[in-house]
Amino acid sequence: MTAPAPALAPPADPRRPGPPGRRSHLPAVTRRAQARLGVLLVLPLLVVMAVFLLFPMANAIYYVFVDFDGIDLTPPFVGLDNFSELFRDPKVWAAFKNNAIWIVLGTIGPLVLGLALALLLWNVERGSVVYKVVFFLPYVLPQVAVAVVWGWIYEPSRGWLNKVLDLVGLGAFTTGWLGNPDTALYAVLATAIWATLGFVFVILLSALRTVDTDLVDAARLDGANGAQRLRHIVLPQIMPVFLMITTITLLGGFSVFEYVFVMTGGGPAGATDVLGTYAYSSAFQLNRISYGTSLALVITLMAVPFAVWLNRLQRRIALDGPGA
Amino acid sequence: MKLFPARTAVVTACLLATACTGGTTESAGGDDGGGSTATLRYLIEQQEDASSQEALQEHIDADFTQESGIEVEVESLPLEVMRTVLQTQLRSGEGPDVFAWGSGPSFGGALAEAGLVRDLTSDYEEHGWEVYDFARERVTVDGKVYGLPGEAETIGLYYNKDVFAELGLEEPQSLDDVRAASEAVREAGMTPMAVGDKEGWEGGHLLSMALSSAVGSDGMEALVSGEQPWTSPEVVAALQLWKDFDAAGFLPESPTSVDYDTSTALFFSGDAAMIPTGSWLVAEIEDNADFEVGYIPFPAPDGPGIFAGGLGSGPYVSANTDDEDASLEFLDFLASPEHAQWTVENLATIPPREVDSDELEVSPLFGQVLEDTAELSASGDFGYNIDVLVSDAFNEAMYDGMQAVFTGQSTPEQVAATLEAAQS
Amino acid sequence: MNVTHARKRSLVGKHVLLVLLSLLMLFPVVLTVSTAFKTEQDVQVNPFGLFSSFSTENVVAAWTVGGFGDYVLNSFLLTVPSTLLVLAIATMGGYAFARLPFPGRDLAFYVVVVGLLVPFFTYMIPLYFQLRSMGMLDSLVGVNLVLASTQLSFGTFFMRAFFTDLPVELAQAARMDGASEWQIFTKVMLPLVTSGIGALAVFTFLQNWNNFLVPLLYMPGGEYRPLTTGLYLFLGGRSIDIGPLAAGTLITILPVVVLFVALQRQVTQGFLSGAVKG
Repeated sequence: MTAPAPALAPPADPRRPGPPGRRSHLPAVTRRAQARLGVLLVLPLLVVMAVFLLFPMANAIYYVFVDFDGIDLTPPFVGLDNFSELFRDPKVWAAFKNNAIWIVLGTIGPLVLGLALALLLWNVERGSVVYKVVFFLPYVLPQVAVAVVWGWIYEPSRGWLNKVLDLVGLGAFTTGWLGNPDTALYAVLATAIWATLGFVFVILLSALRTVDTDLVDAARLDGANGAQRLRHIVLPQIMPVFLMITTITLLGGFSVFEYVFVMTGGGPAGATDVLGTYAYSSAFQLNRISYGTSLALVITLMAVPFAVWLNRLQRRIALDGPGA
Repeated sequence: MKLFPARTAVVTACLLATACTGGTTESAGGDDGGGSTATLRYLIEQQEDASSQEALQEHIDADFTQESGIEVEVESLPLEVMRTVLQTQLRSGEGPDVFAWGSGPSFGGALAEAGLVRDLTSDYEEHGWEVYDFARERVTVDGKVYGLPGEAETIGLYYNKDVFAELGLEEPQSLDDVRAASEAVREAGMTPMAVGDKEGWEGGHLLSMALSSAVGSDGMEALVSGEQPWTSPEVVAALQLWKDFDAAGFLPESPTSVDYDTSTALFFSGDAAMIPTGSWLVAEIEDNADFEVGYIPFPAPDGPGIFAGGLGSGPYVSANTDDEDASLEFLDFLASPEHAQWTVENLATIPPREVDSDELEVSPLFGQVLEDTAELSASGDFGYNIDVLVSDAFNEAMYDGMQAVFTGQSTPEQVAATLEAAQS
Repeated sequence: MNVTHARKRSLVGKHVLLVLLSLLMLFPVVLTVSTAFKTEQDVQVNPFGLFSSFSTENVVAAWTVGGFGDYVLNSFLLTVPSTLLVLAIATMGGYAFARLPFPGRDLAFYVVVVGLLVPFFTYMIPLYFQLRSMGMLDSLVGVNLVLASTQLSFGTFFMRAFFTDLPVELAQAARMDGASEWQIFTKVMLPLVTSGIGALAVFTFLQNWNNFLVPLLYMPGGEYRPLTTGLYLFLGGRSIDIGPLAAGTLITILPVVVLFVALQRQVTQGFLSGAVKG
C-alpha cells in the first residue's frame, strides 16, 4: 500500500480573516501558554523525525560524494563520479525504462478499470457494501503475500493462468510469465494493478456519490449518451479526486519495489529490475553503498515534483470540496 | 557455507534464534552457576532444515560439553545477513567466538586479510588435525591456515536408474551419451533434464559443471586465477551447451521460470529423468525418490567428466575471542573423526577428511558419494564450483549471464565478455 | 415497460460482471486457503488444484517449525507500539500545528512536509548504517521508532485536519471557564477527534503490519522477525515446501483480513480521509 499524502499548507479558516493561527486579540499570557504547549507537543515529533529521517537524509548527501563500501569508515571522496557512472550505466536506463512502463501502465490501468467499476456500481445499491469490501481487500493485504500467491498463479507448469489458457483454447499464449523477459514485468505489473484497483475504485465511488445526479439526468434527457455524459458532466465534477488518485498511483510507480523484489528479484537477468531494486542490490548485495544511495537520490529527485503537485491538488480539494 | 544459496537467503526458522529472545535453550544458557567457563558462541549459517540445527546443538551438548565441560551455544543467521553483519560483529568484540563461514576471497579470505580470524597454522600441528590437502589449501591465505575446512560438496548429474533401464540406456560416459539419452527420454514423452534457473544461482552450477569437465582442474584453476580469460572458447562452449540443450527440448520449457523447488519436484515425481545439481540433494533423495538414483560427474565432450567440487562453510576462530582455549578445544572436537562421522550420518554432508564409510549408516548412494569424494580429494583432480571462489560482482554477472543465455537476452559470447569484465 | 426491462437486464448484467470480478479479486485468497490445507502428499503432487484434500499438518508445521507462530507475535510487537507512538505523537503535533502558534512553527511545518515528500528509498541505506552505529539494529525499540517515523508525517497532517475542523470558540469558552491550555487540549479537543484517532489507528496499524522493507533491512538478526520478512525468507526454501509456504502465507494475511472485514468502514474511511483531506 502506498500512503496517500495529505495536503501541505494550513487551509485558511474563512471565519478568521488574516494569517491563520494568529490570534492577535488573545491576551499575552494566553499566547505564551499556547506557545509553550505548542513547543512541548511538537517536540517528540521533531525529535523522532530529525533522528530517523533528517539525519539519515543528510548522510545520504554525504554518501553520494564518496565511495562507501559499508566497511571502511573513512571512505574516499569521489566527487560526482557516482552520478556520472549512474548516467552511463545501461542497467540504470533499463531500470528507468521499467519504472516508466510501470508509471504509465500502473496509473492508467487502475484508473480506467477503477473508474469503469465505480461507474458500474454507481447505481447498484444492493450488495454494494459487500462489493466494496471484496474489491478493497487486495489493497490491504501485505504485498509480499500477494506476490507469493501470484507467483503460484504464474507458474508455468502447475499454475492457474496457463491452465486456464489451455482450457479456453488459448494454449498458444502459455509462457513462462515471470521467467520470460518479455512478459515478466507486465506480469508483475498486472499483480500490482489487481491490488490497487480496489483502492482506486472505492475512492472514485465515493467521489461519484457527490456528483449532482440532476445534471446527469438532465443531460440524458437532452439526448446525451453515456460517453458524452461521462466526459462532460461526470468527469469534470470528480476531476480533483481523479487527478489526486492519478498522482498517488504515479508516485507509487517511482518507488515500486516489493512486488518486483519478491516475484522476480529483478530477473531474469535484470529484465524486471526497477530503480528501487537496482539500488537495493547495489547497496546490500554488492556492497556499493554509495552507488545505491545515488540511485535512491535520483529516484527522489524525480518523484518530489510530483509529490509537491499532489499536495497542491489535495489542498485545492480540501478547500473546495471533492465535488468542486 | 552451502554452495548453492548464494543469492537467495535459504530458509526456515531458526529455532534457536527465536528461542533465544527469552528463555534458555536446552543446552546453553544463563545458568552458569559457579565458576565454570563462559558459554562459547558458535555462529553458523541458517540451515535449510531447522531440525538440523537442533540436532547439531544436541550432538554438541552430548558429545562435547559432557566431556569438556564447555558449553556451546549454537546461533544462526541467514547467509545474506551474515554477510553484512559478520565483520562488524567480529570487530566489535561482541561477535561469536567460533563461526562457520566459507573460504575463498569473498568469505574467509576477506576476514583473514582484515585480521579478524586467528591463525591456526600452529594449532593444526599441535592438535594433529587431519583434513584433505585441497581442503586445507582452500583455507590458507599467504601460507597461513585460517580455519578448518567445511564440508565438501560436489556438483554433478543425477539420473533416474529405473527410467534409464526401461529405455535401455546405460550410464552416460560422455556428452554424446547424454544427448542420446536425452533424446530417448524426450521421445518417451518425459522431460530429459530438470533444470530450473529462476533464482539465478543454479546457473553458476550449470556453468561450473560443464566447464570443469571440459577443461579439467588445471583449466579451472587457470580461469579462476585470471591466467586464462573468461572469453576463452571453452567458456563460450560451456554456455552454448546449455543453450543448445534448451533448444533441443532437453530442458523444461522456459527454465528461467522454473524455480529450484519445481525442478526437484520434476525429478522426484519421475517426470524428468536427470537433474544436474549438487551432493546436497542426496539427503532428499532418500525421502522423496521411490526409484534408484545414480550420480555421476557431468560428462565432458570426449569422455566422463570430473566432479566439480567446493567447500562449504567451516569453523573459524575469531581473533577477538575471549576464550581461546575453549575455542580451540571446540575446534578440536569439530575436526575429530567422531564429529565427521556424525555429520555424515545426521546431516548427510561430506566431511573434508576421510571417514570409514563401511562403519556408517548411510544409503548406498551416499556411500558412493563419500568414496568418490575421497578419491577426488586424494587425486586432486576435480573441477571448481565457481561461485564460492569469486567476487559478488562476478557471481552476479554469472547468474544473470546464464539466465540471459536461456532467454536469449545475450549470446554466450557476450556473457563470456561480461564475466571477463567482472573478473577484476 | 421496455425501459424497465432494459434497466433490469442491465442491472442483472452488472451484477454478473461484478460477481465475476469479485471472484477474481478473491481467487488468490481462496488459492492460499486451498493450498495451505492440503495433505503433505497432495500438495507435492497437485499443489494448486482447489481443495483436493484437507489436512492441518501444513499449518501446524508452518506455525511451529516454520516459526510463523513467533512471527505473528513479532508482528504485533512491532506494530502495536509503533502505532501507539504514531497516535500519540501525531495527535499532539497535529493539535500544535492546528491551534497553537509557537515560535518556529513554520519551520517545523516544513520538516513534517519533507517527511511526506521524500520516499523511503532516499534515506533507507544511510539509516541502516546509522542504526548500526547507534546499536539499534535488531532492536525492538529501534525498529518500532523507525516504523513510527515512516507514518508520522501523514499522521500529523491527518490529525491536524481534524483539529482545524473544530470550532474556534470551543477553546475560548473553555479558557473563560479557567481551563489551562493543556486542559483544553486533553479535555475539550481530544474527545472530539476520537473518530479521527480511530481511523488513523487502523490505517497506521495496517501500514506497519504490512511493512516489508523496514524489518527486512533493520532486523537482520531475525530475533524479532515479523510475518512479512518471515514469509519472504521462507520462499527460498530448499525442499518441496509449498504446503507450509502456503500455510505461512495464510497466517500472514489472516489478521489483516479479519481486521479489515471487522473494521472495514474505519479502514476505508481512513484511506478516504487521508487521501482527500488536507
